[in-house]
Amino acid sequence: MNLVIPGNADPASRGVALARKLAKTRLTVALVLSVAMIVIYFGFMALFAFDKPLLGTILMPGLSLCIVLGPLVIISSFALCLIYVLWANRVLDAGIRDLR
Amino acid sequence: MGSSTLSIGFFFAFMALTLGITYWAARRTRTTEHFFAAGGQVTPWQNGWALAGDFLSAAALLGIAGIVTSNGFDGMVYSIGWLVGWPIILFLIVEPLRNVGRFTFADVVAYRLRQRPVRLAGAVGTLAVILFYLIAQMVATGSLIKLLFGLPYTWSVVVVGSVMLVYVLFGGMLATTWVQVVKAALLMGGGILLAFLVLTHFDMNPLKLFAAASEKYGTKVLQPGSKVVSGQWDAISLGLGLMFGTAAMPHVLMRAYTVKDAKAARLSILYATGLIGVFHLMVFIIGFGAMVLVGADAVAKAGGGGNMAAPLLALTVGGNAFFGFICAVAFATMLAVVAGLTLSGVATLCHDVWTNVIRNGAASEAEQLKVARVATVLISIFAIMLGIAFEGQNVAFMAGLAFSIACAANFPSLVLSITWRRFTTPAAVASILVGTLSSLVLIYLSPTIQVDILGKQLAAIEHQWWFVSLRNPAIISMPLSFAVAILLSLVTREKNANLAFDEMQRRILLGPVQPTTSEPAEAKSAA
Repeated sequence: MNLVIPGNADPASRGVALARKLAKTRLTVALVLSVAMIVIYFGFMALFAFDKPLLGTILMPGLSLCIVLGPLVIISSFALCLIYVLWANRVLDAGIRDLR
Repeated sequence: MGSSTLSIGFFFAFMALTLGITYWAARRTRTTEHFFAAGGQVTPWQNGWALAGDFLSAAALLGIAGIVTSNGFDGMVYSIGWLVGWPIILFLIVEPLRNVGRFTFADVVAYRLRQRPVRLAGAVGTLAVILFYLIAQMVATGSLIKLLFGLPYTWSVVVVGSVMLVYVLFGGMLATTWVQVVKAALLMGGGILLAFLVLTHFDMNPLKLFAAASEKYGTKVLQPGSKVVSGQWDAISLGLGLMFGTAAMPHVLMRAYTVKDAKAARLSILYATGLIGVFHLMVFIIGFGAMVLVGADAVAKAGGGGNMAAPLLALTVGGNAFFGFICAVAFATMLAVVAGLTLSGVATLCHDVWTNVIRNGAASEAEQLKVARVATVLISIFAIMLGIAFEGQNVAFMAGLAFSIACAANFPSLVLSITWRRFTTPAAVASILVGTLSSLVLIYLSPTIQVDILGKQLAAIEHQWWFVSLRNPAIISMPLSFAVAILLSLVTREKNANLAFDEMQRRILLGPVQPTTSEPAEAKSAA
């Protein structure tokens, strides 16, 4: 839990710099994934709002474009969450261990 | 009715189990840490199920299935909107929340800022969300129970309000968590079984189900329509409210505190997203199943605005016992959701308003617990009274309003306090208040209130200068709230907030260094 690493020349400022760098990396990953989710969702909603005929294209009996894309939005939400969790468990947690 | 006796039997089994849990939890609830956060002892899997239980209201099963049955694809627009907020919670909110806060989202917003004004404003935003969502839930619950069990409306509201009071008052977060877990398991189990039974009629192939639906009602049921969501920008605005409102719902955010660390919080959001996603896909099948196997007309005739689609489908594919089971699951669902909402309202009243504003952070554990219990009783009585007062009123808009306020009032200040060094107290307060007020004013001036509630003619008011054609205010109120926050931050200076930013960033990663130190003191020492 202690941030001060014994035996280091300037431990406090090193800890601060490391923390700042890790915080920045985390925020970048979080923002990129958030933007991906926002683009996917509002891309879908824009089609729903402004191009209903396209979204209503019947691909085969019982299947329209929106019935393909809707569940895909749901699946991609989970996939993006999974990507973040895998990254965080591996990279972020390792960085946090170094900080401590 | 034989099925009614059966469903009442299922219902009593659920009550016996959950009240048993409450008795067990009550003996373990001795501190505020237990009462509001289950002592941080909930595992990620339990919390994932509890989050799903907290979030999936009766509207998610009965409501969306009904919309799909009568309108086809359009019901899925709601399902998707309710899910896409979860990744946002995971990426931007849950880890800072877990590591910086203690019981409420205002803990995080107020961390670097002046405690009292920010917490008061945060309480306004949170309580407005909870009030409208609670009214919507209570009224829906009263009419659904009347429909499903034949119990009079007033009694339904009183029973739900009283049972929820018992869960929260005695069992706190521990009991509420387990009630959510049991309910979510029943809801998922019932939903999956129902969808499975539907698919057995169609060679286990959803496409055959959709094809049968379009043969019976035309291909329009597979295509987006404009009956459920009218207006182009209104659809976008609805999407904003659902996505960012979900990401700032107080009862969802509060669950970040029930697990032991940020990693567990992160995992629980992943599990919840998976569970809720699977459930929504099931509901889509259930809605189409009811359309084909029960018939849209039969569902409409059963009353309740389409809410009977799933129960009637259960009756068709599984007989009386399954009908009773689904009705009981719906009842359990409503109970669990109102309990979660009430608890988050209590946390705001006790932790933000009483402890940190009125008592300036200096309230003993015993005093806080007493205040929490008084607040629980007050909110429950309030919820029961409002539920009865609004009988028969069209309150469907209130759930949407709750999401809009969460999106415009809570989300901007939460995200800016985590990510932006320059963010200041006046900006946070103004952003929360502007988000709340603008949502209320915009919805009052929209056809939702003016036409649907006040009964004015659309033609008579649509050329008035004050008329707002959008039914969903988020597309205006959320950017407005962000703009106010950014402008005020740029014109004001707050040295302590600026200096504490690095310390907060480190705490977002590492968590509280010394958990015993109180937050305001820590913020000051960093400055």
